[in-house]
Amino acid sequence: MKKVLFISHGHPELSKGGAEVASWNLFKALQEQGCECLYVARTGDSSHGGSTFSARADDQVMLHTQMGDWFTLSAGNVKHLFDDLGALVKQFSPDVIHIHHYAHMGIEILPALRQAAPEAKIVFTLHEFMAICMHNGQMVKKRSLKLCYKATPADCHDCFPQHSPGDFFLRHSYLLDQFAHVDCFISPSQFLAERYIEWGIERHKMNVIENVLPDFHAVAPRPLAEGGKRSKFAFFGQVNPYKGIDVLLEAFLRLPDETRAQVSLDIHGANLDKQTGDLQEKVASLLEQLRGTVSMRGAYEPHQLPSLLAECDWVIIPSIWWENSPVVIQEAIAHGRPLIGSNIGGMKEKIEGKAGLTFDARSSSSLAHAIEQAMEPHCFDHWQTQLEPPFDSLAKQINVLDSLFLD
Amino acid sequence: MLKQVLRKISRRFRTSKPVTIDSIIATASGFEVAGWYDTAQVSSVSLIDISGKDVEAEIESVARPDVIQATGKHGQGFHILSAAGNDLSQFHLSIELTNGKRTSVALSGATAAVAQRLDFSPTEDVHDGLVGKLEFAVYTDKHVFVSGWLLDNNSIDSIAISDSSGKALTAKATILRYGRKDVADAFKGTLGVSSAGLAVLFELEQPGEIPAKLYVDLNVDDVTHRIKVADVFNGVSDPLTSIKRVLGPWKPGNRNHLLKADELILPVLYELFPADKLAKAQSIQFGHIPASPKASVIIPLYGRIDFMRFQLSNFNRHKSLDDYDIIYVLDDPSLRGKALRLAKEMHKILGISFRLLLLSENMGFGKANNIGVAHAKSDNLILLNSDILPSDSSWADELITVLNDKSDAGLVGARLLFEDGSMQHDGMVPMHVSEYPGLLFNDHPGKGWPVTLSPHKAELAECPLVTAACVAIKTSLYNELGGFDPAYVLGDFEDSDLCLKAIKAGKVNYIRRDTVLYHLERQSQNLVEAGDWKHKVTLLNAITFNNRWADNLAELFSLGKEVNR
Repeated sequence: MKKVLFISHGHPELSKGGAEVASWNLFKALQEQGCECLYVARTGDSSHGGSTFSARADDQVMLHTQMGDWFTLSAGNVKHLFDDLGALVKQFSPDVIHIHHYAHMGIEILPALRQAAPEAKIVFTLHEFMAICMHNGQMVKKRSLKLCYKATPADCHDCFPQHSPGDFFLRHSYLLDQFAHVDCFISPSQFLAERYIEWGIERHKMNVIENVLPDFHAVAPRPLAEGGKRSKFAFFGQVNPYKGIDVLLEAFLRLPDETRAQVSLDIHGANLDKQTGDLQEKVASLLEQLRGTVSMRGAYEPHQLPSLLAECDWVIIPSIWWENSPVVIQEAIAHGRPLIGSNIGGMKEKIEGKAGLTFDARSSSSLAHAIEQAMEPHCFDHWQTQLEPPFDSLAKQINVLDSLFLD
Repeated sequence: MLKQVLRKISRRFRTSKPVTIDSIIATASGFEVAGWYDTAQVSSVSLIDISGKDVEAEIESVARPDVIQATGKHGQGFHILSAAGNDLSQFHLSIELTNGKRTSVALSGATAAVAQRLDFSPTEDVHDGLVGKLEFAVYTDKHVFVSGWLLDNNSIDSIAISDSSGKALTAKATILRYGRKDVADAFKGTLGVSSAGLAVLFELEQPGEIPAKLYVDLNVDDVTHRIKVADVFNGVSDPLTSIKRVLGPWKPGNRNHLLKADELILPVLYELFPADKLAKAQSIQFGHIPASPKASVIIPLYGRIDFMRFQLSNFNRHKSLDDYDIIYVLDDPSLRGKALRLAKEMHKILGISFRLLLLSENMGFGKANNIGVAHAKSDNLILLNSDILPSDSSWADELITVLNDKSDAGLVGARLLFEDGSMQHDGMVPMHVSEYPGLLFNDHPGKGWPVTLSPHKAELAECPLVTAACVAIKTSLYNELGGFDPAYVLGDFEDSDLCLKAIKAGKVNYIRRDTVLYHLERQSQNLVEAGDWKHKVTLLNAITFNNRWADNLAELFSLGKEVNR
């Protein structure tokens, strides 16, 4: 069985981002398959005695390092990556290095891993557009928040006037230089894969495989009284402007009074307090107007997800950015809940014609219309029975790993 | 413990000044402060008095693309206009740092590097009935440049400098009289006010030290006036500030000024930036130099040392310079520490071999290249700008092939593109600019065009003038020609000068339009938007270039006789 080293920019027990959770699920799954796996997660905390590493478990190492330059995505401490991590990698001597991010560590982690393990296969899973887009990898224009279709030096300079178009050209070139050390890319969505191929990653290195989910069981539809509607909606995720929380609330406000009296929306997510004052005020005012319809349920733990999903009929994902393959979509599908999502990017790819309804991204009236449609039990039944969980992701991951050793 | 202390100390030295004040200019009721701050360190600036209280002022943010180009820092420019009186000792600039802390700097004494600006109210002196002021002098070993204004109705009969004992120090004086708006505004209606401005270059009888108190003896209408110069500056102690001072009164858009450049400005420019200036070069080697490299690649660095990161990474990915001798020349002593750290880091990251030459002085583009060439191990050279980024593995081999195959080859250039894929360089030709009649400049035909519109095929062709941003030449020929001529100050025209020297030596210059690299050329100075000192230096270099080559260019490019300067 192969030795697999995982690199994640955070430990899922400390930070529940999509990339952390996806890498962790694959780590656990490959361990169950009998692979010897080591999970290295970056942390910003200081360690004991100033050492570069600390341990969370025998198979989980914490890497204490930081970023140096968010423009070039460069390491803050080259020694941490090349000497310290290098020595650890040499000792573990992996056949495969599964890396899920470079953020907070530095893009030079790729040449560092290559130097430490010249024969190992480096597999990189893409989770957003960070390398392509300086705007937190969102591909949304900085000031106008319009959708961005292609990162060009001139357009990027328009979003970040302090960096010249030439600087963006150099950034692009430098990041591609480092990505050249990767043997195989995995993208959870075709949409993200195509954006990266257009940006410069070779098509033959790209594989589209959905994130691996841990064991899950479908939850039966909520029992409905005679003549009842599929009127319980839920939102899972961070409460930030890119997740479209304001579009969502406005849509509920647009529902005719008699309809609104029938529906409910549970918002499972946190961090509203970390948003800008403008957004907080807007959301607070919308919530006030939607009193009795919307409940703020706060953050949740992964193990609570099945019961939270059981309470609802539909999951809504109204993001105003493209998304990649949001974990919430796969989880909703796995637990037997259809979705209503924005008709762009990864949401369109994963939902349209497969798992529910889509609406014109950023349009609260289009979303309101979709909600009214979704309330009809026949619409719910139509999509609910079609849901197909990605059972084969792990097999595909293993296939890709095997194929890397064929030549 | 000791380690911690050392770390603290070195950190302190590493932090650079967060705010740079470019100028403080007195106004009628207050003053104007202009400058910029590094946005990585500073979030805002404001005006306070010495007790720390806020002072009312108009604070305007201005874009400073020049700062990042020159320093690599993200500079936010500011203008502060205060009407709270102009006793600078009463005010401080308050600086809010990005880490939440505050600091401040006193405004008095902050003006060491103030460029000479003319938009202030002239203060007048009266000398035996003659109204005027000699505002400053800049002296070099052989010259004294004096600037001021006089209401003499343009009737100076003679002018000279003497020491306090009255002994004459100067032999020859070149005088420029011109209109000064500030004087004209202040003395409306006075006879001869339209030519009150005065700039004089004196040639010293004996080279050497200048007394701290300088007197100019003026003979106007048979009366001798002895006027003390208000401020006297030692030119070579800070050549950059000095040249800014000297260039302040010089308005090249005025034909008179342009014609006077040879006598009034160039002699002092050559002294401020002497061609025989020497620098120590410390060579630091990373990895191994190949035993017989295909070429030595010389890359000067100035300001933006971060270009080294992108270039080395690119060379390494494409393996384009594996058998080459890469030499970076840091022509920016203030960045030694940073450049060395980055070089070490890049060697560690990439494992690529190269040398870094650290110059003890800022020498300018031409001389930095010449020093780099002196360290070359190969008989082939590639001169490369740091903002060039290749896109394949064969570009260097392609250029060297021409050198090795064509015995008549002089300089061999390449086609260069901007980051958007449009043409930056497809060969150069001389051109006239209507603003500066009689002077030839270098034109890049097709600049900004899509490559498909180039009239030239993507192949090797003769091309008399190619840019030095990326050019190959035999080391022996480079040395035979004397390398880049150091007479061109701060980097201009030395490439076309070298091209013409090669042609004169019987060589043929080529361009490989099938060899394509990216050139992220900094926003070049706009020739017609006159005013700033760098633009003026470009014009002075153009004058030097034309003095040498105008006739050859006319012959080479069959140019019609243009109006003479």
